[in-house]
Amino acid sequence: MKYIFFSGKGGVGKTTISSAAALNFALNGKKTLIVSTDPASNLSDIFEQNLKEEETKITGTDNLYASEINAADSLERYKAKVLGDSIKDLDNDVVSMIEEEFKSPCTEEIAGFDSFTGFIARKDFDVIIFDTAPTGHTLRLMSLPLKWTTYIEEVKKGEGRTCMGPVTNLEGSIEVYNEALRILTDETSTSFSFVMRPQELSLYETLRSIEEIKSVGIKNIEILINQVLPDKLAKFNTFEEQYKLNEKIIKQAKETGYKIKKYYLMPEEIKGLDSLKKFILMEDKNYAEKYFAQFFDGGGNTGCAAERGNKYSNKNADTADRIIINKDNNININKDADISSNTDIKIDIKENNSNIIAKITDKIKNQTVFIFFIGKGGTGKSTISLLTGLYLSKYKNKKTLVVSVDPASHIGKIMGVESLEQKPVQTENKNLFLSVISPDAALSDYKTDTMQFFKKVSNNADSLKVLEEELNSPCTLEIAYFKKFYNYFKLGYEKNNLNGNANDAGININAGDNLNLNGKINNALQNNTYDNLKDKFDYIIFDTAPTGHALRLLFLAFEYQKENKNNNSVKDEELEFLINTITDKEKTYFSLALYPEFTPVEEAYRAYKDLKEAGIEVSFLSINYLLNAKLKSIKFFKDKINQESKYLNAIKEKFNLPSLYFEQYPYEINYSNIEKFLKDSFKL
Amino acid sequence: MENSIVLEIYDPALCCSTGVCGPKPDVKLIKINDILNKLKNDFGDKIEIKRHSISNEPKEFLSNKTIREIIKSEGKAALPVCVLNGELLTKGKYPEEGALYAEILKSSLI
Repeated sequence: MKYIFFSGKGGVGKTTISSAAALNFALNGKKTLIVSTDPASNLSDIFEQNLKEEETKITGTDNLYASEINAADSLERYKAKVLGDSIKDLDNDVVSMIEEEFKSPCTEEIAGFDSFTGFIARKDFDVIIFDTAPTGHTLRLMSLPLKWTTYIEEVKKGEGRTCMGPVTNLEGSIEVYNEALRILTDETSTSFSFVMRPQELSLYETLRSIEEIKSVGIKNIEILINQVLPDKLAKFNTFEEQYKLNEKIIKQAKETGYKIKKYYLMPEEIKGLDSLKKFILMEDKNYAEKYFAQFFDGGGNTGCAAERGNKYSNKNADTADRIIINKDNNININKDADISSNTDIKIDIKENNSNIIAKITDKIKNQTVFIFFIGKGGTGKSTISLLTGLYLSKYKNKKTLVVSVDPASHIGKIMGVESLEQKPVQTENKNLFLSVISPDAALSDYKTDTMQFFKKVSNNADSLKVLEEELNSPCTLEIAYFKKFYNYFKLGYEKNNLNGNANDAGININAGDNLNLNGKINNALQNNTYDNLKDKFDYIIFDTAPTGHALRLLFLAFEYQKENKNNNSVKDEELEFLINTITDKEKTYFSLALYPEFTPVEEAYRAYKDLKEAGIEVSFLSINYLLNAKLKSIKFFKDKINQESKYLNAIKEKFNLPSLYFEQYPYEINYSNIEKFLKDSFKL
Repeated sequence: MENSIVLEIYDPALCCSTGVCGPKPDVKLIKINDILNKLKNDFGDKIEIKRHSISNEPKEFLSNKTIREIIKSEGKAALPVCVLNGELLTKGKYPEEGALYAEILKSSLI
């Protein structure tokens, strides 16, 4: 048995490389299973086949099976495991109450984790490949077997009667967890491949993740560098700098001593079995050389004339360089931008982007406005958040905070701020602040605050002991994280509205405790944050975690609201406020970040529908990495540009929304060049 | 004499007994935890306290005739249910400390 994990930041190509690896094993006669642990999986997109948690055979192969672990399927399995036959004897309203509880983040995490360990325990495959969620969340998943086994042991030693929540149901599975842990750390069977791009930040983050994964006990590690520029592009001026950077990063990666593998940037999209096979063949040097030759041989620095009639060009798309904005700079760009027409409609990115932001700023009246950028990993959410933040703060004189909800964020690094914390840190630009929600800090604050609150309500030492034990459960992370997230929404909050009545809780409170309990917990939870942000920020921009996890964090608000209703709890006014704010189009703007390729478009569209179902309207898109039309003179990019037109058209049809546009930069965005990028993106 | 008092609490769907994994620690849950700990302290091994959450151990709810019938006729609104020595004590809410002590003392006198 062989287990290979593919990990890395979003958008680096984990799914492509892991799918190709899986297909390669299968083609070599190994019975292979590829499992995605990403809640926003792209496996079904790449294999062009619907997938679910139970493995599905990939059509057109003999030995390849694929599976997507997803919350709905995991919960269904978990439900069957816990409820079993009981379900038919229970009333509908009781079952729905149980189901609501099962939707809590803790149960959801356990159910997903249970599915994951279930796959590790499988013995009926030769190779199991895991296409994982973006880094931070994968590290969490990997650490769970150890966290839960440790916790269960501790609880057994402790009070013993502590309810362990959903894990009670899985106690029999402790052997499975132990076995999972053993397999994960067994270097003869298990290896971890980190996929990265040949960029400084990518290498930096990869090395950091490697250190973390090593702490879980995983030893067998290699680094895969994806989207390396083919050598032949080096002779074009535009790519000279980027090519040099590639070389430098590859050299640095080699110096780390880990096994390194390179994958070249291909001008075509990898999707479907045939293109995956091509991707596998590219590992062969001769094949790769021949493949690239077709794009470069005969084409010089200018070479475009010779390319007419080339079998790789797409006649239809030839007529339009880009999708672009109509002449009136109307935000509703999509109506007139018809790519089948013969006129090139040029986009005025600066004009367009400034207009979109103006639509937001013009509306504001003495309230904090929240902007969310949500999208697949690697769509450039951080850069877009920072550019928007810079534009608003520096050129519109608005006090702006950019909050990263992604534990693996590097917005600080880009803005030249050494270390970020939850408390907003001012940047060189006095109106721009940055902040990050870190899971560790969130957890420790939640523990402290909750203990404080309990001590005000109870003085029973045994109760407090039970509480402490339960607080140490791996279950509390998500609620702790959520609390931090919703602290940012207190900004527009009228504090004197916080008149929760203790008696609503349905209990009698001893004299002296007869305080506003709601107020108490809110204050307690605020201790570790900061006051009066309302006066400080006009805009709060959320640079979110990749789609699946970002949506889950948002939807938790709705789950908690339901759960409160279910338990007849006191109305949680803060929660209500959060929900009212995020569902109010004037207060909160949602933007989906994407780039014109299949998976980001599909992922954004799924998010669009999910948000809509939850009552949230997406206000605008942020389309990133547009190729400069000048690149069209290089044959290598011709297909890519045609493909871009195709997807821009699809985006227009699917969403019919205004969009911010950003161009693909030949270099990595960092402290020294972000201003330049800003100048190219907005009218200053 | 051991376990002469058997107190059973049938909780609604809960993730944990203090509610710290849920949206907000619930004062009701803190309170009942306190009361149960006090009972344990006062009665020692004379009292046996069993606690079941419907989302974790639905079978416990169904195998007990009283509970099964209550939730069948009243649904989730009947939870939590508290049973003392096999007799229904409270439903739809947790018992109050004073009343619970009174009932326990009364039942152990008989």
